Amino acid sequence: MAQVEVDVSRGLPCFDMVGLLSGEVKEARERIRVALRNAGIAMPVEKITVNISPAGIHKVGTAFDLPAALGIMATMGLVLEESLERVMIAGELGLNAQVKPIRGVLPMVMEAGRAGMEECLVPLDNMKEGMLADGPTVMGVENLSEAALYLGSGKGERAKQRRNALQKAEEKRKNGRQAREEKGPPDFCMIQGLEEAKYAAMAAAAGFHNLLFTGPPGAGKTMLAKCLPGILPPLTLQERREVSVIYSVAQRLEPDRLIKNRPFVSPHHTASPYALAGGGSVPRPGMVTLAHKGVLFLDEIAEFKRATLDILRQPMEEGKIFLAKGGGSFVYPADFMLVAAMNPCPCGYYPDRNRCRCSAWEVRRYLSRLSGPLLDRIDLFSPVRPVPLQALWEGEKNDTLTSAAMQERVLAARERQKHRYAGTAIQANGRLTGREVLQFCRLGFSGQQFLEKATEGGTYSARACHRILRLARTLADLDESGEIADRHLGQAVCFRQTEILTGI
Amino acid sequence: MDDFWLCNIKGIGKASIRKLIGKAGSAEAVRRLSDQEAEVLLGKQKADCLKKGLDEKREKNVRQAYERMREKGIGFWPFWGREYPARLQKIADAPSCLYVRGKGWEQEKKTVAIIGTRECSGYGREMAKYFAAGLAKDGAAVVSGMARGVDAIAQEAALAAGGSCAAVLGCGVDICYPPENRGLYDRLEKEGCLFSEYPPGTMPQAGLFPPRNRIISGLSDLVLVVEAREKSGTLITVDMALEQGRDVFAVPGRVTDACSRGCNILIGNGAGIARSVRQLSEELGVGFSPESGARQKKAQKKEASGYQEDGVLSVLDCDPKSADDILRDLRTQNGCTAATIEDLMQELALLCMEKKAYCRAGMYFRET
Repeated sequence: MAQVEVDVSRGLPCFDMVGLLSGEVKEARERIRVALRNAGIAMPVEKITVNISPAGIHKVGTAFDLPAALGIMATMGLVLEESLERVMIAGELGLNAQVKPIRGVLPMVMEAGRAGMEECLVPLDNMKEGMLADGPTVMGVENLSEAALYLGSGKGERAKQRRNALQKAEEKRKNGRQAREEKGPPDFCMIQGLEEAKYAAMAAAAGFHNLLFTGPPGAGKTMLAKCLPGILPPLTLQERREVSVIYSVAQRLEPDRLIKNRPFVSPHHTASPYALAGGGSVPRPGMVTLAHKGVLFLDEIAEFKRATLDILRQPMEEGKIFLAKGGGSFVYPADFMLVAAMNPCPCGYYPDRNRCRCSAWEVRRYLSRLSGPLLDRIDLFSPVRPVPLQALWEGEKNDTLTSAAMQERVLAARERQKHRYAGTAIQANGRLTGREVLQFCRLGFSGQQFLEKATEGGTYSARACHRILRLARTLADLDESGEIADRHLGQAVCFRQTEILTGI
Repeated sequence: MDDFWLCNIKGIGKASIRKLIGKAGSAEAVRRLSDQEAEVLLGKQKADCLKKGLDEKREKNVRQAYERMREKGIGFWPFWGREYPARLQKIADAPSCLYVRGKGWEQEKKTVAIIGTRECSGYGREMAKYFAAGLAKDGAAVVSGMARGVDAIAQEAALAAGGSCAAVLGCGVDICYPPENRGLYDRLEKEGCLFSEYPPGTMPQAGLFPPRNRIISGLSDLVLVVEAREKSGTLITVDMALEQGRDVFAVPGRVTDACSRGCNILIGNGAGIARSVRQLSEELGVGFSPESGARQKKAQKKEASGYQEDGVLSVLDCDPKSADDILRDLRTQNGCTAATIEDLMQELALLCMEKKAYCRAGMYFRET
């Protein structure tokens, strides 16, 4: 919470703003001066000082225009000082004294509620967004005089004004750009064949495992990834708010409702590290944060710059990203599920030797663009081979797997996990650490023997074993089995041996 | 030392060396040839080159080079020497000398050259392994070019089977090219043999590789082409082999496989069809071991009964298939309409653990 203080004192007439302000905040002086004049208010011909405290924190954005202007009006007696008590005010001013929308209203109102504020005065366009916070009462104003009028009114009058404002806001929305209907993700039944990949997607959704699809161009990797949010469990109210806050800060929230669908963020492979992590001296949320509680889809992951991909390590480990920037250090949530897709070689067709002439060395070099630490955090590897035309025409008979049916199984598996991890901080199987794996993924005698046999080749490290166990736990949950049976271990090993670097 | 000197005179090529040796009998004698004799034999220009080669300063350089080579343990076989492979001696443009590294070369052993494309398919890989290991066990030596793909796979299989194996390089014998075959190079140095006609330290260059193919075919009694594309370097070797009068066999492939097109064309043009190790062993005249005979019988029995195993193994072959392909085949060919991906994946994991099937790049196959 920032506090805007205004002082008018004798001295040479001037208007100063202090408090570690960035360019756009300092420019508020001109906006306020002209807006006040156009609202028919003459600025006092005295020395005006505006201080925004705490003065040690870098401030950005245009939300300070309205509180500063109202502060000046208060020193002139146009607004009662008492009426500003316990009110959070934010808004940008136009030269004609209009109040324009700003970003981040939802978290502002939530924070105001926590700080004990009773009322929030925000731009009319942001009023409905502010009301989503379910916190203090929110009033939307269209111009400076409306704000002054509201602050000058009694309790009953204020309620009436709020009702009017809400009506106006709704009308304005209706006349303006229609809110885009949130389109759900495509359905898995639109994809024929590819049962292995679908099973992998279902396991990923059930345990929140990271997933990598490899295959030639046009095999359906992108389509599979796009379908994935459709089988994830729906967001809870708490999660919806969390995600909406992020989108509000990024100014990407539809004004009158919380985010409903799980985010699906798919940055282009030319994205810079800052685009992914969040850039700016007070950083805007990056892609990893926008994908919070949803899917971060990196198509053609091998084409991303190494530096960009290495950004992912911390968020994948901790579910949040720490940013040290000019404006201070920030912690943003970034608990996403990574879904990546890539070709198996530079030309894309390996191991189809009729089309691919990349040498083994080229293939290996292409695959090694993914660093080991990143691969270590991916539990599921799924090769996607193109479905032969013949099978496409005939339509596969066993192909009745719809997103709804898959989601049902995912939900059941999640329910089992919730039950198992009750009282711990663990959210899903995919988030188990090494020690927790040993605690929760116990094997029976035959399971131990099976795993020993599987690791006899000596190709599996301890970490790889943990990943197999973690995945086997999810597969058992999908199978509604309390214990990890051999079949689950077998399937997990099978997913493991399709790891991209095996045997090339 | 004198031999080395003769082979490393600037301006004196294979043909001139042959003439000189033919006249003088040995390199030492060549040094004592008078200017007139040399001029009559080689013409004025070349004789001058020979004279310059006798220059003291140059001789010193050659001596140093020779000592460096000995230090590295590289052998030097001039074509008039005893060690020089007899088969190679007979070809038209035999190299004037060979630089050798490794255990040595058994003259009397029957030799097969196994060659093929660098970017081979799973089938090519399996066939290269099958023939190389089988023939090596039957006592034939395997020669190839240590290139990526078929060459390296065949040589590795031959070494693994305990057979003798040689590689002919297109660069100096002290240089490993391609670098990823380092393991194979080291193994050949210990257990096999490395040849090159280029002096040590020669870097790999595109122009040097086609001429070494004539040595590969020249060293061998029989040339086996495992996989070749329509326009392929492998076919150059085949041309040379035919010029040298070697038998050429090709492994047949499917019409639709680009990698087998060259082989099928060769067969169309009259090359032999490589059907089994046994057939080639007979062709080469090497005694096939009882062990391989038993193996053969077993394989034949297996073939006759159409693969004993039921289920997943029955739809697997050496052509890699994805899990989805296998599932589709199970449903359509074997009538297991109830097969699920879950069961299949568990089964595949088991088969891979038992080494009955293998997984590469997400595709499954079995060995022949």
